[in-house]
Amino acid sequence: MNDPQDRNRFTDFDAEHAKRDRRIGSDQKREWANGLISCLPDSLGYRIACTSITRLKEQALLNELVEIWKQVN
Amino acid sequence: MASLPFDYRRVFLTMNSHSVSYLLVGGLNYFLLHKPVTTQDIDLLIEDTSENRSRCEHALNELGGEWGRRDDDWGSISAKQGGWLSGQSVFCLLTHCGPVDIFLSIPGISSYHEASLRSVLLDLDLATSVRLISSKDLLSCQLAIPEAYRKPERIAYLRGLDYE
Repeated sequence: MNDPQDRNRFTDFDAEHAKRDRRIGSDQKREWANGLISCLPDSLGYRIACTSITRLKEQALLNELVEIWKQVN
Repeated sequence: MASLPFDYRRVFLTMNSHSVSYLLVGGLNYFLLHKPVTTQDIDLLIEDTSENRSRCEHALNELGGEWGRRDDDWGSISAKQGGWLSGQSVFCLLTHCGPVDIFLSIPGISSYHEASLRSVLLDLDLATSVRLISSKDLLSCQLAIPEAYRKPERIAYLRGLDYE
């Protein structure tokens, strides 16, 4: 990643994300953090999709839910 | 904007209905093709032509998109003049179906056309299909971005796949 143009792209990326984040209320963030939406197709073998604005801490929860789903299916 | 669900199927359906030429990249690509991971938005690389950008603008409008080039002009894209989807490489929107990132270009993909030829078509159900960049291209993208943005676990997994 030595191309200055690419570095600028990531400056754009951070600024764009920050701009959007400022529009998202804490209630929405909480909903994404806690809301695990089931919308994966059956054909893929599991249905549980975890989407979250706080991307770091939910992976363990997602793994746990996938395991639960596997057990009940 | 009121409470947002995360309905990526509807995003794909809408993009498809407007004949937008796009490829799914990012975390949701990895999720659908490989392993469950958390993701915060839907990342779409679109073909960067004026016709396709226009189709994408209409699709995003139908999805209730909100965006602004600056904080002080953030608002519904229905109020924006056509052609707003240009002038920068990435656009982070809010839509009624969740956050959507539109990329006009992305590190690791030098040619949209070639990436499209290598892409994978995934049928999510009878009505919804989506085209995803190939796993090899997904790896290329990871390797092309600054280290701070990389996902080491994904890189290790993707490197371990058989690309023959």
